[in-house]
Amino acid sequence: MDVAATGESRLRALFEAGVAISSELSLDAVLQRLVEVAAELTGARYAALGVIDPSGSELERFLTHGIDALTHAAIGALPRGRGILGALIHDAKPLRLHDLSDDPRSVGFPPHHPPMRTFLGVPILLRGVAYGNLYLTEKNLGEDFTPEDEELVSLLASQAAVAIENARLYEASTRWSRQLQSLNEIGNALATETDLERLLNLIVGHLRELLGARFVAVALPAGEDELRFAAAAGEGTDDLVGVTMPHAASKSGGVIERRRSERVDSVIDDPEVNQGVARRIAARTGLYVPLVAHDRVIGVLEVHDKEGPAGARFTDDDLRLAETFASRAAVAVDLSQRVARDALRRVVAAQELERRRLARELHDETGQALTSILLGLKPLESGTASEAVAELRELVVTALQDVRRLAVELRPTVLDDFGLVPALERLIESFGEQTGLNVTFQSTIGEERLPSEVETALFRLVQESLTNVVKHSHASTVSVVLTRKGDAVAVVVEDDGTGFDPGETGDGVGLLGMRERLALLDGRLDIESTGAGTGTTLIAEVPWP
Amino acid sequence: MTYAVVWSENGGAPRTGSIELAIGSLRLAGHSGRELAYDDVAEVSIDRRRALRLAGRPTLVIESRTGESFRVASLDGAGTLHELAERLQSARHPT
Repeated sequence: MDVAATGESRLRALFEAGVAISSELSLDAVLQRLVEVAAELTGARYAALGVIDPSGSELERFLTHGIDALTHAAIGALPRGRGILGALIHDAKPLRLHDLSDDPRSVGFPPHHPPMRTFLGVPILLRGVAYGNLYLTEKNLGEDFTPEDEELVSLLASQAAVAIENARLYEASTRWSRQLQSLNEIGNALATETDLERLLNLIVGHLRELLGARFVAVALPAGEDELRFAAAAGEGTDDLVGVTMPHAASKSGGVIERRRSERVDSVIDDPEVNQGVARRIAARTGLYVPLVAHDRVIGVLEVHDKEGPAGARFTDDDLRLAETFASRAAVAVDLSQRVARDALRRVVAAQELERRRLARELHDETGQALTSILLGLKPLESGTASEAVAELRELVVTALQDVRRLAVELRPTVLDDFGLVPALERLIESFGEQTGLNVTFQSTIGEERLPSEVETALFRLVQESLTNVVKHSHASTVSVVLTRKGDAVAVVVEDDGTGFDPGETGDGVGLLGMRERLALLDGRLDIESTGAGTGTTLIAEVPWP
Repeated sequence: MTYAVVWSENGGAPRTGSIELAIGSLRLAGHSGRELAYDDVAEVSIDRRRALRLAGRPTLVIESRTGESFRVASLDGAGTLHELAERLQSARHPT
């Protein structure tokens, strides 16, 4: 065959390959056709095409020409991308060899593999991205592959690259479309759930399904320095809900600080990951995505381990999907928390109103009635039944005393009539008398009245703190200070008792109720105590209105 | 369950601390403490007499089988003395 005829037949074959690519829907069919054309045009006995997986580490497809099914079966597993094939994956440049076995990178052939000497490998490249390689061996008559062969196969490889990229783009757009549909469905489901616990369980369940993850959990801030797992879905979640971890010693804490999601391909190698929690759930890889609502980070989604073949990892697409999901979930969580706070606020307000009414009723009605009885008994004391009257009088005095104390305990009228400072002065004076403790009170906020809900919250907080001192501290001296601290009003209750370790006690001893009450006013509670007999300092702050 | 209380033993000086209804016994704590098994409690009553009050409050009187007497006044708020009495009775006679 003369040169012109050869050139013409090659052009025709290339044209046919182009037509096949544009008419064939199956990627495998297109690539198989290209392998065959490449073998035909170069006179190679064997040809193969390997497609690198999106992670770039190994082959996801391997199509061959020239090896029959029996030989295929005898050889066994497909190549994993080592030896010469690995060299082409890692260094995407054409490679022509006279004898494969002479190359130092060669790792030899597996048993039953036909002998191969001459070799031409060409990367499948598009816009600098390597999608795989096209390999040819055993050119006719033992000849070496020529530069013309390389040029021709490079052209076919470019066509393969277009086909692979199109297939991946189509797959990605189909997947994204499915995921968007799922996101919309999930968004609707989340929007109708306001119970926080049920909502969080919906979130972790849906996200796990959406990403094909082994494990998903949501961690919410618990106090100032900790995060608490509030819901989890997947394997090994049984004991995780309720577990806390230090904010400062966890990847989730870091993600909250940086307000940016992160993908971790090896949990064990990341020094920021809390390894105690990671071991507990046997996490290998992870996505950490902040829940941001109204420009405030309200929690973190932790996603661990892609389901599927061993070594499967999350992709950047997974991270983007998780971020999109998190933005919707955060709005729902924020709404649910607001609903819960509003409900609690209404309950607290209703409780105080009820106490106020009861206290007034006791003071004004029952107390007045008992006073009248007492006055009525007075003229009878000199009569014949003077002893019985005296006993009766004693009973009435005691009842009157109890009613007044009860009214004050329910809701001291001085709090409503004169404000927080006089109310605390009376509370502390009476507390000192009743307990024998040395209690001091100092206020630096002057005569200014605070909003009723702030006065009530701080009064109840001091009341609860003093009760805690009696119950737990064995203190002999207590100091209560009401002061202005920057843009906040602060109450500091300090005792010289045994103290306790807040880390061990957690939010027991009524601290949770105090925190919740302060949180309704955007306030905060700090506890300083070591449990080593150095006393306890409780600092409550509420923004100055 | 623990309550903040003022308590006294056999009419002695009042002490500030807590009463805990634990499993099998009640514990009075403060700078010094006492523990009394429920089986050793002979009688429980509320005494409202003015002269025998602690911190101006009515007291829960706990008599032991060995003749000791404890008076406990609750500082934990309205209604807690009766609550304490009911819990103590339940602890003594579990159903």
